[in-house]
Amino acid sequence: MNWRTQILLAGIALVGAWKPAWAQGNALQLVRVEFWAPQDKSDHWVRIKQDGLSHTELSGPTKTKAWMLNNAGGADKKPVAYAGGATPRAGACFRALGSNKSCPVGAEGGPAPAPTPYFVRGTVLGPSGQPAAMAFRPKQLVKTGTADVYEYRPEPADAAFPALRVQYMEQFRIRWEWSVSGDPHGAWTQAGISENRMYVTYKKPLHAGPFFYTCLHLGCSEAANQQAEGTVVAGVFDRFKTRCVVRVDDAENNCLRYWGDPDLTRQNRGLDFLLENAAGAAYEDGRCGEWSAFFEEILAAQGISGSQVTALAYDPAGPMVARFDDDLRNAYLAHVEQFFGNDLFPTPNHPEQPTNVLLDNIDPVFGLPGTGARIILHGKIATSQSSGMTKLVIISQFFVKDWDFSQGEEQFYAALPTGQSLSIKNPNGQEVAVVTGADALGSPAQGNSDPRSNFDDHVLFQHGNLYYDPSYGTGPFPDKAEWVVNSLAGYGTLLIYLNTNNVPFYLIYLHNKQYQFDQNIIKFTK
Amino acid sequence: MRQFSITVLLTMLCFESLLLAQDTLYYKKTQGYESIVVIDGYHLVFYANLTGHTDTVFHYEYGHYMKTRIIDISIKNNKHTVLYRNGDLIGYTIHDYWNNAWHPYMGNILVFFTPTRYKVDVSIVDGDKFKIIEDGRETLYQINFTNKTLERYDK
Repeated sequence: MNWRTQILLAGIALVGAWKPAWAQGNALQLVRVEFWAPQDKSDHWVRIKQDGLSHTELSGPTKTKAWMLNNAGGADKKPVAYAGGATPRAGACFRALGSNKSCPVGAEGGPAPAPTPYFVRGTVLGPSGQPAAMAFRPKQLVKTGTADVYEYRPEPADAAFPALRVQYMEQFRIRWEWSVSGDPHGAWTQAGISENRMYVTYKKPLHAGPFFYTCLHLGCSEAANQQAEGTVVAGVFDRFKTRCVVRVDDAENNCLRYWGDPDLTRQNRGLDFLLENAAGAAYEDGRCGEWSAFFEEILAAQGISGSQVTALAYDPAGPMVARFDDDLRNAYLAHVEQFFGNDLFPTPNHPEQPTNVLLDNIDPVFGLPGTGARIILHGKIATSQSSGMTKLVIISQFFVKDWDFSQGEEQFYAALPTGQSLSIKNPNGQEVAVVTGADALGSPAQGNSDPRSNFDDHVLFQHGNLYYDPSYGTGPFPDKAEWVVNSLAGYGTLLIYLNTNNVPFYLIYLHNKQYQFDQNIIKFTK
Repeated sequence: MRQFSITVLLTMLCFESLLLAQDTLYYKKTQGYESIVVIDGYHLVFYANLTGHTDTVFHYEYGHYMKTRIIDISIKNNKHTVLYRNGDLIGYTIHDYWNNAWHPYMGNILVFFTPTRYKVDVSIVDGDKFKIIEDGRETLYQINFTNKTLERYDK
């Protein structure tokens, strides 16, 4: 071999040794993966927002940055959700290995980007790392700038998520590989593996959302793999039956509460309060309305409809709810007067006088003496539009189990522990009556083993012909009467006894032990 | 939450050492007095520390499921006024001090909540008035200590 040949061979070897960056292997690094709304079924894109009051959206209207390399070498992740039957779309961004270039905002459409010599494909991996039955087709990468950053523009998967099947994948993993030929049988090199939570709902959600993260998570995780509406609902409600429902990202695993704080809970209005975890006793706490709305929203994300049903302590005689009718009122007032006597009622010593006894309106309270033992009735003054007459209206309530009403109906009890008596004294300190405590340990409810148990109303949830009580995690009941029989201890009204030290005590007038459903007393409305 | 000032702690130790094992529901310190409310079973126990000595103002017994929240306590002219709320109502209780002890003086319910009436804010003003704000409307009521009633107060 002469020197010319040697130089020629050396030159050839040198040329052979030089390869563009893309051809040297390990040249691409996965930087970002985004999931996009389906092209053909945009309404199968399920939007997610943070729990609580912020309403910050975790997803976007059309795409979610599900996996993103961060500066610490790890990845920031966000959950993604599709409705069953949707074909997911994914886009990804890569950079030359070793560079610190950032990806442009993921896009589709717009000016035609420049093609690059790279091809990328994505393979969805099963739980043990084997390829699953879904992949993202090989596609030539493009670049929109001069940096060594390359984009895999949004591409539908080669398969859809099954319709009518709930899925929850804690780690939806995609192995991303690059190649310079795009030949499926050629050499492919791994650029990275993305993983994020993936939710697939039973059907298209009932509204466009966004849905609270916990609502979506509970629905998909508790009903995972269910393929019938009834079993989806049952799966979700099984979680409610435990009476410890926890927000998805609650590191402390606190059970959300039902009437956890009787004062603050009353002021709560809305699911966002129930799902808010900011410091403060008012949060992660709700009434029956919030709990029923919670269950409803979980199912709505799954595309399952139902309706909230309100049980009301009811005026048997008229259209107005949560009040005694005239006959019952008159009988009740007679009982009050007979049991407590007249001394406990401010002048003119008779409970029927509306100006002397009421407390639902502010002003009458100020007309009352500010001292001395008194009985105050739970009611308000109403003026008849037809007659112009003022009338004492008694507010009715029902009592959720358990109460010890063993002394019978048409009786007064104290809202004190069973076995504890309360002496009722007149302003002179003389005992006029004794009432016994009836408050037994209440029916356990969400995050609260002994919640308050007297209400004007209660909200349930109806799905099909079944009734669910999300607040207490009870049901489903085959009909409303079953809920009444299983849940209520009685029906009547409240009184307040202010003792000689001006300390209030709650008393109960039990009109009826509600062991049997009576639609004239407990009314249901939608 | 436990919030004890040194003075209250020391004084309370003299009166009832068991208090240290109880939960503090409310604590307030202003110039001239300190107030502390602790939970003892079904009782709330109110203490007032006036110029170095602590008195038990009163025991408040409450129902099994009721959690009373103290809104404010004011001590003025030997009158100890407590404003409180629970899930059903807002009420007040006033004690006065004579013969070296606190005695019940007056008290009532200011507001009874209903399903549609729950956003009511109440505060003590100057130790002798209640300010009620409901639906943005502000009303002042003055305590008539002679007649033991409340009266509308126009600024």
